[in-house]
Amino acid sequence: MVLRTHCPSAAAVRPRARPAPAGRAIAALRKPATEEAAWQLLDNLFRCARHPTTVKDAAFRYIYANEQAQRLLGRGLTELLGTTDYDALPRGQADRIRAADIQVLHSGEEQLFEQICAGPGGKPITIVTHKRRAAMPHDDAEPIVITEMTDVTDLRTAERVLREREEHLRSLIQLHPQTPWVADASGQVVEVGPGWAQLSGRPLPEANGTGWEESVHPDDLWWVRENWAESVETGTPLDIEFRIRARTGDYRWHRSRAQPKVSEGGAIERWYGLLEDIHDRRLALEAFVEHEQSLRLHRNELEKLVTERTAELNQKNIELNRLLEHEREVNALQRRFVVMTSHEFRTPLTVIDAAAQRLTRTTSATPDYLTDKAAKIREAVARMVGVMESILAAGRLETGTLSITTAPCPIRDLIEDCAARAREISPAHHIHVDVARLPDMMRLDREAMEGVFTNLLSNAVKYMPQGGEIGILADLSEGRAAIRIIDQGIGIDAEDVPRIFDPYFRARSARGIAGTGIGLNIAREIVKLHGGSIEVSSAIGKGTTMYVILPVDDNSVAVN
Amino acid sequence: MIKVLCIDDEADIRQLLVEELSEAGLSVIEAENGEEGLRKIISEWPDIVICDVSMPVMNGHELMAEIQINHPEFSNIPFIMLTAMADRQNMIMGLESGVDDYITKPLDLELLVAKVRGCANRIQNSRIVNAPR
Repeated sequence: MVLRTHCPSAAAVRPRARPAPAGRAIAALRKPATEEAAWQLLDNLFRCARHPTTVKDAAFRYIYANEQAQRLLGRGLTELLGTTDYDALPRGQADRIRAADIQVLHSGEEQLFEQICAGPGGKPITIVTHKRRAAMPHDDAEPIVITEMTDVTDLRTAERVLREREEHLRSLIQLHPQTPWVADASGQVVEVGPGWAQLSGRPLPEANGTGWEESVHPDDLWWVRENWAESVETGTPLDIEFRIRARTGDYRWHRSRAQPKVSEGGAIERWYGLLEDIHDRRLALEAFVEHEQSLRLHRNELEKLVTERTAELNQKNIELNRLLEHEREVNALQRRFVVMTSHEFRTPLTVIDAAAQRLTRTTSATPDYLTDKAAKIREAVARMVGVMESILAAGRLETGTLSITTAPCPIRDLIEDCAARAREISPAHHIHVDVARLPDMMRLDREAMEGVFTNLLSNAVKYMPQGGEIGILADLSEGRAAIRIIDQGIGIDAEDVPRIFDPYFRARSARGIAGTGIGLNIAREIVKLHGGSIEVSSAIGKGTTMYVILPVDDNSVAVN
Repeated sequence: MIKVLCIDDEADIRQLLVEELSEAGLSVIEAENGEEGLRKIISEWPDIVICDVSMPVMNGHELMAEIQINHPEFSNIPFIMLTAMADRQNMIMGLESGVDDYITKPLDLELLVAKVRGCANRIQNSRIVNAPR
């Protein structure tokens, strides 16, 4: 009866335990002349054996035990001889040994089994027991049982420790979220962790060689291969991220890292790698990056918006300032207007009023006296009407209703007429006219242009209060007529020159000299309507030259 | 006879003043701006000056300042300003700088004559008081 037949070392034990050919062994043992000598030989042989060995007779009594066996069993030879296992071992253990002995003795089959029993000092030891039937080398050839015991306690302990460690590592690997893999020096995968089947849904062996490539995203495969090939070739550690088709058919991002194991000689023996599912992390990172980008975008948008709003505000500010400036100009205009009207109306009003008072207060009013006063009053009224007309003309300018009607006009006569009237009014001024270069006819609004020249001439007279020379000269060049009115009067401050065409503006040098500040403004507008321009050059105390520049069409020149 | 100098750039107004004041029994001389007025003050030594404010060359206020600074010997002459611009601030400044009175245009000739006569009387009275006995 076999107690424990499972025995991993059975295969290893059996060849060694195969009996030598019986003839030769017996021949060797026959040599000793006596039984005593034979036992001596046998004892020596057994002493040399590595393992504890015992011999029992057919009644299962110990008839021999070598020294190793004596130590194992904890009894000396004299104590052992003639006793059975029941004499020394617990009954259960003795039963099992006896059963094996009986089996061997009756059937002649070798028995090989492993058992755990109490060793010296009570410590449990693991013994591999090999039992074989033999016969006593004497006449009756009584059968005996030879038992060879091998203490495999250390071996079994080491095996258990190894197994436990392996299980420990296996558990670790199985529990580990990453999937280990191993490749040979040529880069062929030789083993992958069980996680691979879990993640790819494909049997583990299919990953071997280059089988794993089946699961890599087609877009990623080429460079995964390239990187891996480069690592294999150069021995540099691998660290790449790519997509692997999961069981569900979705692709998930993985990171694969591998380090080469290098032999003492420096050659790569194999690669140990780890495959890690980084999908969620990568998506989170991508989301983060996207979020950050959108934040940056938002910030840029905001900055842009702020810049735009600032620009808008600046624009509004500029507009506001412009309006304010305009408002100020309008106010200044109004003030100038009030000053002008109060002066320009009061002066003739004073004449009218004083004349009327004189008429009532005088005691000797001759007809001549009455005529004189009436004339003064009428002059003053005419002057006031003139101021009023100017103001109305300025109003027409502002409302844009000033218009001209041009017709061919003898320009030279026009200027001569204006000069003649000015001479009449102011005999103290000598007015010289040289406009021979002008064409006979020019297309002009005669009335309007008469107004312009009258105004410019009256200015020349007015601002040269002491009298003097006034010149009117004309040139023709490049299709334009330039008519200059030159005086040697009080002149205009350089600062005031750009403003003299503004409505109601009076230059500082004109202070105390009657005027509305409207004449030049209207004159410029009329010349503009003719497609020309008025320019001025002046020096304070030296005089002023006004330039009236008018376009001359070909027909006009042809007439000349 | 009290001598009055009328300074105004408007010939018509000057003529009316001359008529009115002559009729009131005063001797009247004329000037058409401040500059001419100053020359006449120096050469003719008038008793009273009637002067327009707004004039070319030299205006009334400039003439006043010129007298105060450069010709203080004439600063006691009564100085009546005629103004078309009833600017209160200008009037205050003028009064403070020595102008005796302002009359606004259009002119009330009766009022003007009364003021000039009042001045003339004071001057004549003081001449009697101060005359050597």
